[in-house]
Amino acid sequence: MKSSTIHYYFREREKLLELADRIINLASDFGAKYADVRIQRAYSTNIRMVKDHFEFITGGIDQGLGVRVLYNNAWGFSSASSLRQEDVEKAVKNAVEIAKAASFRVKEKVELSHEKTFEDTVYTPVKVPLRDVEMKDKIDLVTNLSEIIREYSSKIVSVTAVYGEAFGDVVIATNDGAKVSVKPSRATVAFLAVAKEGEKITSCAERLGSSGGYEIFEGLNVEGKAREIAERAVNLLKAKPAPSGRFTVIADPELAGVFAHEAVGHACEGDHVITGESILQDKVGQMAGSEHVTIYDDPTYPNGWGSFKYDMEGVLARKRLLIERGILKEFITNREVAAKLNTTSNGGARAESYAFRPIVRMSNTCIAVGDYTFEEMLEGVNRGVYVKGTKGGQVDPAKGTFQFSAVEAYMIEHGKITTPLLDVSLSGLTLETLRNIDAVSKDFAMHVGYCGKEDQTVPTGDGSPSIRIRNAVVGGIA
Amino acid sequence: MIDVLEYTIKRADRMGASQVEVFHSKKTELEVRAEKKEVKIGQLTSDVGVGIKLALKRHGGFSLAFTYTTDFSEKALDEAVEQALKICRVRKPDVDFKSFPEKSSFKVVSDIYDKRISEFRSEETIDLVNNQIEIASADKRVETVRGLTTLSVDEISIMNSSGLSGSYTASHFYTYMYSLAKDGDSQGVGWEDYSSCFFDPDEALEAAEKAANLAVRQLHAKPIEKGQMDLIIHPDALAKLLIYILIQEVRADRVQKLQSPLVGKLNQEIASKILTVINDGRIPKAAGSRPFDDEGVPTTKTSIIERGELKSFLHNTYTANKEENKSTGNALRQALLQVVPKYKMETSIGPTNIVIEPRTSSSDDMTREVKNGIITKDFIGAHTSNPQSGAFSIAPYCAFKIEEGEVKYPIKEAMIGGNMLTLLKNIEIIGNDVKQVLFYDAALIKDATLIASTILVKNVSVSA
Repeated sequence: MKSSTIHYYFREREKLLELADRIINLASDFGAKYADVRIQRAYSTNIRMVKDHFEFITGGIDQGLGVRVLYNNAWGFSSASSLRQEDVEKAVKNAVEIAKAASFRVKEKVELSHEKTFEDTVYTPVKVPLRDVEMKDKIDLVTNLSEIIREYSSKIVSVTAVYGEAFGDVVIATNDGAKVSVKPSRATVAFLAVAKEGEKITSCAERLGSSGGYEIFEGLNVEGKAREIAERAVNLLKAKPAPSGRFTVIADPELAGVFAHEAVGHACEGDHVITGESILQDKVGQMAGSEHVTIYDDPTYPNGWGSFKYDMEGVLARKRLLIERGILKEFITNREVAAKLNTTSNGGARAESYAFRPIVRMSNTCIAVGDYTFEEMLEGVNRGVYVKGTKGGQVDPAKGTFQFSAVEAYMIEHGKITTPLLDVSLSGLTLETLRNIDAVSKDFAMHVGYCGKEDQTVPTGDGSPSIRIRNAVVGGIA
Repeated sequence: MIDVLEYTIKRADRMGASQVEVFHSKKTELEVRAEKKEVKIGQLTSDVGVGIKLALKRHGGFSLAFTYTTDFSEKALDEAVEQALKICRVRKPDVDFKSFPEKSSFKVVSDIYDKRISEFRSEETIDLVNNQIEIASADKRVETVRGLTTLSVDEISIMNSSGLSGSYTASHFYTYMYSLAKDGDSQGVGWEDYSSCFFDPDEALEAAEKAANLAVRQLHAKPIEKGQMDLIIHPDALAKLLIYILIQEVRADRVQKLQSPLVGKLNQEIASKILTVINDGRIPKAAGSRPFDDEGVPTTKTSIIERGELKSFLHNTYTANKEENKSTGNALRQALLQVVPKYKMETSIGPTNIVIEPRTSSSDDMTREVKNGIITKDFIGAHTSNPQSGAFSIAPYCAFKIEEGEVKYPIKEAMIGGNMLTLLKNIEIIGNDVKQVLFYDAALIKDATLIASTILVKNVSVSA
């Protein structure tokens, strides 16, 4: 079974590479100045259990291609989920025809940065291939996590546990020489615990995952995390409505990581910068935060949830230092943005799948560690709020405003964590908040999640220590 | 396409499945995006696949599994069926599953298909977007214009082993324009969208103009004082709150799992007496309309809230069977905040067109009623709301302060905390300015709408 599987996939990849060649040649024949293509064949499994009931167990086979062309400064894109010859040709023709139609309307010149091109095959290191693990084992994993949470307390009234995996082949090729074949493999579990007491309902959630095979779960302490989530949800039942106003806030690594991603990362996406929709535009070399703040985006983070070696334009991706000790250093770029900024691309082009065009995205966005202990950070706070975890957030990179909700929060009084608080959200102006960070801790944690932009959802990592923000806007219901 | 459906049903039957449902969807979409006052990219995408749901009779009930494939070769279809059977064999039977929906006759819904859209004229669409950009750029203070205009056609077919079979084609037109205005150090943002089953360039141009006007009016925003005040909510903002809270709370699956604050509240008064909310899957030209839902049950009109009283939850066949009720035709393959092709999703429960019955006030009438309040076009952060408790904490966006019956100035940085049920009870006025809001800007859902007017809610807690 195993040896035949490997043979089958090897043949698949060769076939996809040949097809990629045909497509970019065809696009060039039709008159495209630049063309890139992604062809994908992927297998996925998703399991979702709510309480003791499986909401779904789904398997999927995805295949398709996406071709993007540049013609006289205009972009055209087309995708098809069929790889039959006539559908492939139609897709290429559509992409070029749309670009031609648009070319009569565009005034601005589109240049692409010159990049070193690679012919390479990237295998995700896998010890236990996901397809060799029995469906029963995956179902048992989810069942076990769900049971751990349900059995923690009679106050737990609902649990959602999910498992997801995806693996397969992606081929990326450009008509200026890039030809990269990638064999991605990633898996994740996530769980949500809901606790209830009287009329009060609370919830707490966590997602764990990384690149690799089924072996990743050994290192992730999934059972311990499940227990912790149950405990946090139950503890939240004691929470009281939060006050509103300006406070000194200490944010845990998860929430601080989301802040780095939402408020800083999005404003550093080069496409927002060149369209004038980022508050950080024209600020390279200037102070964009306090000296405690160093933020980077790193697609090379080992086995990272948001990691990749080459981006979807075939460019070798590298770590980008966004803010160093408060000074804005660089943006996340693709080839078009890089050309506008007179630099080379740092490999920020990502696409959710073959069905989407590549756009500038983050990978693993992190705040660098500082030299405070958590206790030292607390000591300096007379009256404040400690916020942990996040239920999501939103940001306007143009105005530089952000808002997100914490999962858990506590009052800080005279350097001590006291009353638990309910439904706390944090909002404010990004630049002001960055300036008001006056302490960063030594501990670092990476959280995994998904980021949505222009209809596309890609896996991203958020890493951070705890951070302390003076004078932050806290919103509550009280 | 019937070939693929028939082949799969036969194949599943031969391989041992007790029941099978095959859902085929094809979406062809032309999308033109504008960025930085230019046409940025045009794209024509075609996504087609089949979703296969199997039921395997075992001791104690049926085990269920779902797989999908975009590869229609016999080999791939066999692989998908085999994978589903593998899942069935290790999965505990679901005692509540009875069967896939029975065969029924479908009544045509009028005006959900526009032949002009299906021609996907890329030049015409690009020219339209270009004209939108020109209109939005008329005011020199408008620095950035971006947006998208989408023409799409959905071809849906379904077949199951109970003999049900049906298909339909629907088209959609959607346009969204965003403008950013600058004046000195001040920035203002505005947006507008429009959706219909029919191509409508005039509405698209009007949306562009409205977006730009709002951006300019948003210049020189001021902070506000915190306090209790009145809130006038535009349909776009209302769509955000409803899709993440109320609409989730009236899903029968959530109610049955006790994940809704509306558990046990049927026939009770849960909202202001002036509020009537209906789900209607058969409104002409509305983007949520279709002859049958995503498991083949005819769509209907369901009264959810009638003059403040909770009347019905939204059902699919599974939840209806569980309580010996009838499906309301709300089995949909939708996901919040994710653009996923339908064939990739199992059915859950979702809205088609949610209608809030309009009343007589204009939004100017409403403004005059307000001594101290906010009028908001949009909310940020509604997706972080808790549908289980109904609690939300959101920021008004593109909002203005109202004082003594007059719109005074654009506001910045405010937070609103509250609870859905309290908000529903505090609805004081419902307007007459009906807008069909696709739940696209709110939750990336492309086939469901809110058809509603501006509303006024009393006593909202605002923090600055």
